[in-house]
Amino acid sequence: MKRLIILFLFLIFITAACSVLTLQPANFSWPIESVLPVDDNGKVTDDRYSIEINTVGLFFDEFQDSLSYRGKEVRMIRDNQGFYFMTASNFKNVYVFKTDEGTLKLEKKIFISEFGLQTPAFNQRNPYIELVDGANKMNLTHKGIVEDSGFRREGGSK
Amino acid sequence: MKNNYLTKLLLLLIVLGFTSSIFAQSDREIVDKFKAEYTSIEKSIKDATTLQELNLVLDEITILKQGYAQHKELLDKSLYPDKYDESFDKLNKAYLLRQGDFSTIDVLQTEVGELKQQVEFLNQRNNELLVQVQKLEDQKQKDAKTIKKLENLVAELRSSIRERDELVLSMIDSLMPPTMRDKENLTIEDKDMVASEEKKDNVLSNVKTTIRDNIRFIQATSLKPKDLESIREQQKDFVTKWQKVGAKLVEVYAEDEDKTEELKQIDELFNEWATVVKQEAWESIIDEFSLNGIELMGFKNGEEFTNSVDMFIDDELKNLGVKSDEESKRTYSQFADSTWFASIQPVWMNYLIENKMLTDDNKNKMESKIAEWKNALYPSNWWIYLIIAGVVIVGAVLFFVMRRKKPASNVSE
Repeated sequence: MKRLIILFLFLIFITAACSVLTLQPANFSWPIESVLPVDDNGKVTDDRYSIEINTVGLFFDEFQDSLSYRGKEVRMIRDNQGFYFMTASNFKNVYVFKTDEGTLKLEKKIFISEFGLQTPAFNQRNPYIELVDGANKMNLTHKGIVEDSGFRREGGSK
Repeated sequence: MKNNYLTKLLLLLIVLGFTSSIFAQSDREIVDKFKAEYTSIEKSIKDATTLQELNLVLDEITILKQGYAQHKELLDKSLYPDKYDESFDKLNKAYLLRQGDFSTIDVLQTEVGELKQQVEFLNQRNNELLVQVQKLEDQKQKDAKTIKKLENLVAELRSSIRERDELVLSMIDSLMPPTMRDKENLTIEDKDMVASEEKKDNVLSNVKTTIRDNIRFIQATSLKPKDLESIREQQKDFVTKWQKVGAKLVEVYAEDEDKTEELKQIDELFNEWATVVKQEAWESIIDEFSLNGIELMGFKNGEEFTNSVDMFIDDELKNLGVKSDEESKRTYSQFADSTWFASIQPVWMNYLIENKMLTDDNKNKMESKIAEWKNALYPSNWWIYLIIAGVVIVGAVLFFVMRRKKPASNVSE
């Protein structure tokens, strides 16, 4: 019994010593979406948040065309947990990314409409991100669509 | 009637509710719309050309603030770096600043209007004073009372002309801002603005009147070097300011023959003014001699002045045997004691030499001539004193010799 207690205390000590410093709570939400034009090299730049992202991969994933980014603009917003939501006109999906070392890694690809979004826009509705497209709107999280948000999905879901 | 109004209002509310339910609005769209309206109001404030136009903007600010009050929270978060209230504070400050500009313009316009009136008044007053001075100057016999009156009038006229000159200089100054003067080429808008300002205040005409009055003042009065120095300074100041603006006015009126002619006249008047100031010194010197009954041959420069004095003294020397001694001495006294040593040498000589109107050689030549004249009138009797001294010395020597010889004869006895 005595040995068990010593082992338990030892484990607690080791766990405590290895724990990572965490600052909380942290809110990463952007108040409004950024609408960023894609340049000739496929890059978008946001001066307010000082970020620069290459979107060639995003457009290729959506349209399977490496030049489909030309003349487009990307709509982007960040939720309170720090996930980036990106979409654009004619996209069928909303892409959710999380940051990694010098990259944005896909967290979730949320299928929205088989016919593509016509005039998509993001609104910050903590803790959700609201996706608006004409008369339709729905709430999203980095995990997907919040089912009771009243969005009528067209053409099935992924 | 009331029912009709209520029906309309209800219909409007239904339509609005329906519309808002059909079109979900993007926050970004609200913010962008706000920014566009805000920028438009900012532009209206900057572009307003009258206070009335600016006052309309105040209503726009109020409408914008009321219209977006419901989105205050969103705008607080989205506007960067300012927030909702700060944005309106900025807009209100810009409005007040612009309002201040209009108030300043209003004050300046009033000042310019007053300036014009003052110049017109002074032009008339100076003219009257000049006529009075001229009348008094023309009186051959001037008693002490007239002289005093003349002096007072001249002082009043000088001060009045000076005052008007300052006002006209202000007009020249206000014709174009310094930044415009530094421009290599004026734009059409600049030219139009300058031409309109010039026309409004009759600047060219006032500049001409000012120079003419200054010329008349100099011609009508007999001035001292101190006055002339002051006039020279004033003239320099005027010329400097005119040169800066005048060159630009030539550009403004390149295609207006009448105005070009007027600008030429102003240049000629400036030259005449400079000549008259120079000439005035000689005129005043002639007057000084004349006041003491000495009529010299006219002169317009140092060389002629020297020759004139030289000739006058030569004539006097020639007349020494012809005129009575008393008369010759009286002329000398009037020339030398009452004029030359009383006013020309102490008052004018420095001015003439400093302004390079007379050389040292000329001065020495005239002074030698005056000395020669004096010697001819009052010959020096040094040789008489020498003879007297010689006689005294010889007498003394003889006296001592005689006294020495006397004891020797006593011894032999």
